Amino acid sequence: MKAGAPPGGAEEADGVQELGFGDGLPPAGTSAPRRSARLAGRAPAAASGEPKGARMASPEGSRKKRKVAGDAAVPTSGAEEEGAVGSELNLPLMASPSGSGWGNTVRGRLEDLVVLSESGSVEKMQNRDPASSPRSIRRRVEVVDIESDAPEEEVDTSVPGRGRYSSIEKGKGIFVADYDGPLVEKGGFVPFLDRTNPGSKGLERTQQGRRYTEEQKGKRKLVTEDDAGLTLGGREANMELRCEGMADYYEQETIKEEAMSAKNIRESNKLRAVELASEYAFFKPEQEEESEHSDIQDSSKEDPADWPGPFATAMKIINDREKRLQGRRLSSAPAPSESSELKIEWVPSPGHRLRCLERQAPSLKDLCLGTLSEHATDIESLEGVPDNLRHQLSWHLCNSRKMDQHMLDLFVRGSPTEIRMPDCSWATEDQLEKILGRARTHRLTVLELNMCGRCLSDGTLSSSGKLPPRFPSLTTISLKGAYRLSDDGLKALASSAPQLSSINLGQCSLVTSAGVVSLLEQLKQSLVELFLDDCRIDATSVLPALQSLRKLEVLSVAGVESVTDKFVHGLVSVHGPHMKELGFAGCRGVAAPSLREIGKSCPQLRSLDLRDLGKLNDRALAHLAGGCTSLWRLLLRRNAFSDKAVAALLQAAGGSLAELSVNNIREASNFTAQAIAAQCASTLRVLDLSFCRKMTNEGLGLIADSCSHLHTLKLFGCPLITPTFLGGDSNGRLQVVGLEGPILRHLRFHEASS
Amino acid sequence: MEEDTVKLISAEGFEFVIDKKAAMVSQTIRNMFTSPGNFSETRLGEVTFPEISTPILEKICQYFYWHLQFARCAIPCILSPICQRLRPQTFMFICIYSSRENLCLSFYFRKESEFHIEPEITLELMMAANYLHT
Repeated sequence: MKAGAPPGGAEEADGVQELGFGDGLPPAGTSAPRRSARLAGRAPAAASGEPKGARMASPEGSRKKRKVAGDAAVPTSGAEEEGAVGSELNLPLMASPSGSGWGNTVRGRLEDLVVLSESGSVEKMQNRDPASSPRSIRRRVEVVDIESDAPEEEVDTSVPGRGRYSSIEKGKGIFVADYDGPLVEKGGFVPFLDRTNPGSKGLERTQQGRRYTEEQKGKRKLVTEDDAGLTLGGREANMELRCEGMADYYEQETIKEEAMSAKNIRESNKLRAVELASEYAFFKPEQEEESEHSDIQDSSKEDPADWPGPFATAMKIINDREKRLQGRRLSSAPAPSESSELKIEWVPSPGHRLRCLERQAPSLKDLCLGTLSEHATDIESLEGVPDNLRHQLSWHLCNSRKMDQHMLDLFVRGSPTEIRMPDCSWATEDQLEKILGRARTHRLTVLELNMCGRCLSDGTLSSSGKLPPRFPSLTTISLKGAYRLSDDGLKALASSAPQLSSINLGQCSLVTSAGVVSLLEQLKQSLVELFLDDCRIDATSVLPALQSLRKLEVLSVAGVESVTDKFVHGLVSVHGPHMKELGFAGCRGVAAPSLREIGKSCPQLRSLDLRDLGKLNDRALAHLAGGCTSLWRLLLRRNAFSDKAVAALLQAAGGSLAELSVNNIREASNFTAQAIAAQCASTLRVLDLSFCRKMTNEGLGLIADSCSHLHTLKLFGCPLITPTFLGGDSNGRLQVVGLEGPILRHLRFHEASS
Repeated sequence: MEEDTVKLISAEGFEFVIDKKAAMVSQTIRNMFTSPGNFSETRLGEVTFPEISTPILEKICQYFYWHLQFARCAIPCILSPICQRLRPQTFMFICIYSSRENLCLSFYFRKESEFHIEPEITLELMMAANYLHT
């Protein structure tokens, strides 16, 4: 049924062609095409602006037209056509029995074409009287027109023929044509829900034939626009274009019926859809409900000026600076500028070209390590090699997958003080047992067997009942990824290493709260550092044991879901004064009250890991700024802070910051950059500004120029950075990762170990 | 130029006379020579390394010069990405860069930009490099 639109319909023909209404129309008779032409013409999308009829023919778009077409087709084509049309167009129209009564029946079965934005399924078939239903007024117009056409199967769509259906049809049509504003309801999704009876107006106009034609044309145009809008809205914004949006659109459209061509409509609709689509496309995880107490406790502080001292001062400074700049800017140039952004003037220094020409030669140590890694199998002994070199060597070997039993034996031979294996995944249980069994471990102080799940079982590290403990001097043990280690294994470990002060049990899935509690009981006197990342424990049940530790300084519970504000409160109230490092990455129960406690009670805090927390806001940063002024490492990845808040925090508490991550803090931009350049200039070593979409060249240039010790700058996902910055910074040692080139080259040894 | 040399003495007593600029590649040596105070190293301009053997020290001196060469003959940033994509065959770049003071013409041999280390001495060399912070 892809008959081309019949050309016969004179001025209406264009609509037909584009509409491709020939699909549903039988080739029989010129009138039918013409009728369809008229219908097509009426069909908004097709007619004036729509270049492609196919569009209109699409199911979602041209609901109305379909209907119309279906209606039109019914009388002319007969059962099969109509059926075809109906099926094609998904219209639940039933075959009309006869031509004469066609109009009525069809009208009766007219769909109540409700243009709901969500889906095409909105079409409701309602049997309504044309006159009675106000909702489908607009549709009615078209439909009625069609109906009027219907009986005139062989009759040209001339004016007089219309006269038969004048009262309702024309009235409605004209109503639509004259539709200006009132018809569109703000709230209603369908502007034509207006109950105004257009009949009277229409009647007047329709008296004259010529007028009628014009009206018809006008109407058609109007309908076209509307339908174009409808269609376009349906097509382009079928991602839930809001009803109000449609209503507004219609309002505008009807007012500018002459001015807007369909193309413009399409464009504006597209823009609108794009705007709205982004809102819908962005996945928001379920909105976390505000915890009850946080509302109560934080409701007192609303105004930034009320925030604790240093933060408020910093905010004031920032605001003043911004005002001054704005004043200057406004006086000098009337260019509109966003009030929340700070313009930084920075130009690449002229001597930069020479400086950046000086490449950094690789150090001899790195070259040697590379050569050693290549010829690892030829190493006979590692006697006399200091521990840090052994560590680097094992890191390189594990990275290049050259580590094996023989190499491990080299490391274990003698009476080592440190055995560090970043990656034990190559080992089997037997191998490890054999090697460790041979080892003389009386001097061992550091044992690191990360990723040892496959090879580490409960008995590997136990003393197996012998009296002198197996690891008498062991103070640091790291068993990340030991997924076979259970509570018994922990107990055995604690008994064989009585002087443990640092335990890393990251990702030990079998360890339970009870096991951790018993471990803490055994090591109450000596434990200083505890890492329980990603363990499946219940924080509340572990809390009392944590509180009973004497010397806890480092605690990381990243990824433990049961960590709440209460836990933090309990922890910090006991250990706050000597707490040095805290890690709450991914603990979504941590919110602003926790930070308040931390800010209040942890003056010596050096490292704070607040990555991926959802509930924090600027107020939380204010608390932090008040208390923790000696931070070395601050990780704020993916939190919802504002630019100014981060800047104020850095101003107040960033004096000794060595590592900062504002990865994915959307708003971070020039204020933050300026604060970094001002406060952390002498200490900053590693900076992560990835996915700060608003970061500019100027800000980065300022940072790079001021921070002389900066050696790693991560810039993944910063779209505003251009080569101007890359070539322009004067810091020769700076390694920029993420803009171009290999992205793993920054994973040098020191980074991997931290 | 004669005044700008330093003497590095190995464990066996061999003396290596190298440019001061080359010796400054090592952080340890640089600190020795630039630290305030009247150290004999600064006065005499010589440093003794009792735990570094002669072949190792010789290799270290070679590294110093290679380091200087590497840093000096830098190709412009624009070309470096292109170079990285080229295969490591011997080719020659003539890079001309002008500063405000002078016009320099330097040659860059890609093949020779690698510093080859014999595997046998690598371990000791690494320890010496670690000590010298180079």
